[in-house]
Parts: sequence; structure tokens; C-alpha cells
Amino acid sequence: MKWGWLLLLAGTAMTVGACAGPPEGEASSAALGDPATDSPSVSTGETLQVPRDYPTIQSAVDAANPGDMILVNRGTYHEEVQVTTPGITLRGVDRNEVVIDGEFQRPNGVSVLFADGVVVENITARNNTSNGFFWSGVRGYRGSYLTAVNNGVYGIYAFDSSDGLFEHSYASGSPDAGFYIGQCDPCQASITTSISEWNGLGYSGTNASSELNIVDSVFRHNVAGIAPNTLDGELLPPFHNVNVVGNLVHDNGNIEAPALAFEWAAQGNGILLAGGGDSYVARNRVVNHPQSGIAIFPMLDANLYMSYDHQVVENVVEGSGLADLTLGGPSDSGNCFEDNEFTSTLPAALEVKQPCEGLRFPALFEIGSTTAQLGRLFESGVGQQPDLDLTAVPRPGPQPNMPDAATAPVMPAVDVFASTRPDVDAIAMPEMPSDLEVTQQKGINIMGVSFASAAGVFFGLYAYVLPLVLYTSWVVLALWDLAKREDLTRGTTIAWMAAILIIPFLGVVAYYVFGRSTIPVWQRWVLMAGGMLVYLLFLGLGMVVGGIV
Amino acid sequence: MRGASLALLGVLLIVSCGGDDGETVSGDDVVVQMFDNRYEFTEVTVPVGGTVTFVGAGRNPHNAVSADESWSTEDVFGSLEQLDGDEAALIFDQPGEYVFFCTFHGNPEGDGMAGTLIVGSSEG
Repeated sequence: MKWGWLLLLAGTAMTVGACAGPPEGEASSAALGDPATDSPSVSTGETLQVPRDYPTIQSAVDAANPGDMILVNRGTYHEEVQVTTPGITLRGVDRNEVVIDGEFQRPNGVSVLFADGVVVENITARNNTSNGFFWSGVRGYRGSYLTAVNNGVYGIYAFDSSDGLFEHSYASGSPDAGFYIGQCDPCQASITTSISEWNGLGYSGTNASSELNIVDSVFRHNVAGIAPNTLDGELLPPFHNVNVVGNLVHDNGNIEAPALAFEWAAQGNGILLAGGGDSYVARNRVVNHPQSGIAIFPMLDANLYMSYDHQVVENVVEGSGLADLTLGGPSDSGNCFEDNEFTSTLPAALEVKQPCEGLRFPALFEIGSTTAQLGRLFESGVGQQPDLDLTAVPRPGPQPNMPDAATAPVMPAVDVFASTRPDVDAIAMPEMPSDLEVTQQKGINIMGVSFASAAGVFFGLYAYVLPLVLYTSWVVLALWDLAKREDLTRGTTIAWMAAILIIPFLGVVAYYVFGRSTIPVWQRWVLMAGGMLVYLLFLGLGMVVGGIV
Repeated sequence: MRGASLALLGVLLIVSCGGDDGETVSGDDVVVQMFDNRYEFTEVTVPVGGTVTFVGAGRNPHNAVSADESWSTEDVFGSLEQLDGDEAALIFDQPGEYVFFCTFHGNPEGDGMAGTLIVGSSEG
């Protein structure tokens, strides 16, 4: 019977938790960094003008040859543009007055499908049900001087692609993310000199890895700021080797910005590394976040992905409600924090215990901040998440235009990364803006369980504190039982006590199963299995209602 | 007896973790989730008269359209934009092999979000 219970517990834990294999399927060769491209490397010199030569952008795109430019004059264009010709450049003459408006009826402003080397620049895309600007399955892409406003999923988006650049661009009002790069390894891509605000996430990068730079940009007033992450819905998990350097990240925790459930779970964090590894977070200025300024968490989807070997160095972090630096668990080893300016960490003394140089405590983390995210997902599942209409997002003011847009040289997006790759070691910390003040106060937390939300407290208590209370009671009762037993020799008693005290969890469980405890069997099982089942019940409830499983 | 039952249930739960058989699926009534931006199964086999239910499971909208334009999820769902949880069940009465794709994330040549549906025996 004992083994039956153990198998039942193991099976339940595996079913509730992490039991699936990696997602099946093949990413495109472009997403895997294959340098082959269908794009010409130079322009043809031909320019197709809209609306002078072609009444719609799509009609010009359909007529264009690889290497041509389509120059779009001022106007609001009510159409969806799909590009399947490689190497063309789609350019507006005025970023603020060339607008593709989806009227909340069409999915994408501009989508580039399997066409390498396509450049889109100096255009606004707004009010699309899915994405503003979207590249998929391409080798070589560039988006410059783009404005994406109030699009239903992502603002500026590259998927299953490599060799790219987003620069001088702006995104707001997207409930998933303003900027998104997903499913690539090596991505060979950069986001730089851009602004992302009033989105679910300022940047999201699901399973996007290697030679990927999020640099020199501003992420503010989003639900959460910068979030490289791992999910099983896309291929190539987990994410790894992402550089997040030299960004100004402030006031992300905006409960009035649109957000989906996953984004709501990240609410209040500035830079969040969720379930990947080997990434480098350096010289960012991170200010005013209700949760953590910079946090490392695991990611639970169909599989559990623990974070590993992230480096958080030389950042300035201030004004955090929970902690400036957080290592949430469970976590794999190798995550480190060094030479940051901060006032609080979770767990305490994080830089002392987890330095990047020298002796490091193995897998030291805390759970309370992780269970808070489960609470947020639960809130979303029961409809307690704020649901902001996209049209309620403040409209941005005019954004800087591309210099000499009508006459600037045309360059297909070939070898983009090689020619624009930033020197991350040379990127400096951004200055503190004169109009930015530290306003976020440190909040109350107990063992990392924040009181920011009722659901967070509930799951913090049942999915974190409860197991610790259970474990403590197991140990106390086992020691009490040993102390009053007269059937054991002194040596056996000492050996069991040592096992119970020194070997976490397994020692006391071994005593109850094999130690012939005088506590009646049924009481032992109520104590161990009953408590664990309650724990699993609440954990499962959170994951089911929260949409994880 | 109760111990054996518990053990059996535990083993079943553990075994249930390994149920995914990869990119292919076959059966009388098949469900294919449409993730961002790929199909759960890229080779689907049903008998003549079998049903394939395409279910939205991503943040972006998806659909499934036959490259020869003989069928589409729009035929039964009424829109090409299936969001998370939206279902479109199609019954296939004509044997044949069809390339299908998402009009937003794939193409008729089978690039990107695309798959193959075999109705009837795969040997033809």
C-alpha cells in the first residue's frame, strides 16, 4: 500500500507539473541561422509610388520586383499588406502621416511571409486585430522608424526568422508585447534605440536565443518591462544567450495597460528572465516597479523550465515594491548577481550568496515571488484581471522621422546583424532622466510572499508556506516519536535523528516509511499524504484556473 | 487490493505523461491545435467520413485552408480568424491528400504553418 501511495503521489506530481516532452516540429532553416537568402543584396534603383503609380500599397507590393522600393505618400490606408517578394523596401515619406489602419477588422498592418531581406521603414500601423508589423520565416529583416499603436497582439514582431534589426521604432497598446522576437536560435537580431510603452510586455522573446540584443532602448509604463521567456507553444525552448544591456526601464506595473493572462502574471516587474539561461543583463537603469526591478524566475508550461547561468551585473535598480533583485525558485544553478546598485534583494544578501566570481551557494532561491505569479494567473482565470480597451491607451505624439525619407539609399536587409551588431561591452548605463523620480515604496512581504494581491497571498500561503509548515511538523513529530521510543538502540536513534535533520525531506519521509515509527500508520499517512494532497490540490487549482494546464 | 489500485493509478498517471506521438496523428475523430505559429500535428490521417477539428490555441488568430481551395475552416467557423479556444470541425467524405496551411502564417507551398491531411488510406 505504501508504494501505491508513493506512485500515486509521483504520478500526480508529474501530471500536475512537468511531464511533457519538448514541443514537436521543425523551425525554419532561417530561424536556425542558415545564411542562405533569396534577397538581392543591392537595390534595383526602381521606385514604385503609392498612390501616384498604384492606388494601394498591396497593388504596388504585388507589382514590385526583388530589390525595388515602394514609396508611400501621406495618407491613411485601410488595407492589410502582405509581402511575399524578397528584398523589397516599403517606405513611407512621413512616419506620422503614412498610416496603415486596420480599423480593428484586419489582422496585420504589414506581414512579410517567407520573403527574405524585406525592409519596412517610416510607417505607422495601428488598430490591427493581431500585429502592426510582422516578419515570419525569413532570413534578413529590418524595421526602422516604425510606429505600432493599438494592435491586438504584438506591435513589431519577428517570428521563426534571423538576421534582423528593429531600430528607432515605437510600440504602444499591444496586450501581448510592443516588441516581440520569437522562435529563433541563433536569432542574430537586435532591438535598439526604440521605445515601448503601454503594452502588456515592453519586450517579449519566447524561445528566442543567441546573438540577440535588447539594448539602448526605453521600456516604460508597460504591465511588465522586458521579459525573455520560455514556452512550449513555440519551438526551440528554452531561451538562452540574450543580452539586455543599457536600457532605461521604469514604471512598469501599469494596471491600466492592456494585457493577456501571461503578461498579467508578470505585472510589476522591470526585467524578468523566465525560464531560460546564459543571459546577460547589464548596465540597465531600472526604476519604480511594484514587484521586482530585475527578477529571475522559473517558467511552468507543459514542462518546467528552471533558469540557469544568468548574469545580472552593473545595473542600477531602485524603487522596487518587493525587491530590487529577485531570484525566484525553483531555480537551477549558476545564476549570479554582482556589482549592481540596489537596496533590497530576495532572498536576502543575494550578491553575497550568488556572486559571479567566487564561491556560490547552490541553487539558493525563494518561492514566494514565484507563487505570486500563480496568483496573478488565477486572477486572470477568474476574470479579476483589469481588461483595458485598446482604444483607451493614450495616443503617442509625433515620432521622429527617418532622415531624407524620399531620397535616402535603399538597402535590402542582407547581412543585417553583421553590419549592425552592437558592441554590448561598450554600451553605457543610461542617465537618470531629469523628470523621473523614485516614487515606488518598498511593500510588506513575508518570506517573499507579497501582499500586493489577495490571490498572491493565497497561493503564497498554500503553495509555499504550507509545505514548509508540513515539513516542520513532520520533523518535530518524528523527533518526538524517536525520543520516546525504547525499542531502538542509542546508535540507531542517533542515526535516524541525523537522517531526519540533515537530509531534507527524504530523511523524515524515510523514517516514516522504513523506521517502524510508533505513530499509527493511518496518522502518518494523514500527516504526509493528506498535507501533500492539499498542497497539490491548491497548486493544481491555480494552474488549471490560471490556464497553465 | 487498495494498494494495488493506488499503484495502478499512479503508474497510469506517470504513463499518461508520454502520450504525445510527435507530429503525426490518425483516427476517426482528430483534434489539431493551432499554436503560434504551427499546427500541433503536421501529418493528419482520417478515414473517409472522418472528422478533423481545428482548435485555436495561440495568441494570434489561425485557420486551416486547403492549398487546392477545396475546403477551409472558414466554411464551418464563418471566419478565417480562429482565436484561442475557437473550434472548427470538418468532415471529410472525399478520399485524397491535401496540403493545408494558415493564411496568416503559412503558404500553399507548405512553408511555415502548414501540414498534410490524408483522407483514406495513406497508400491511396
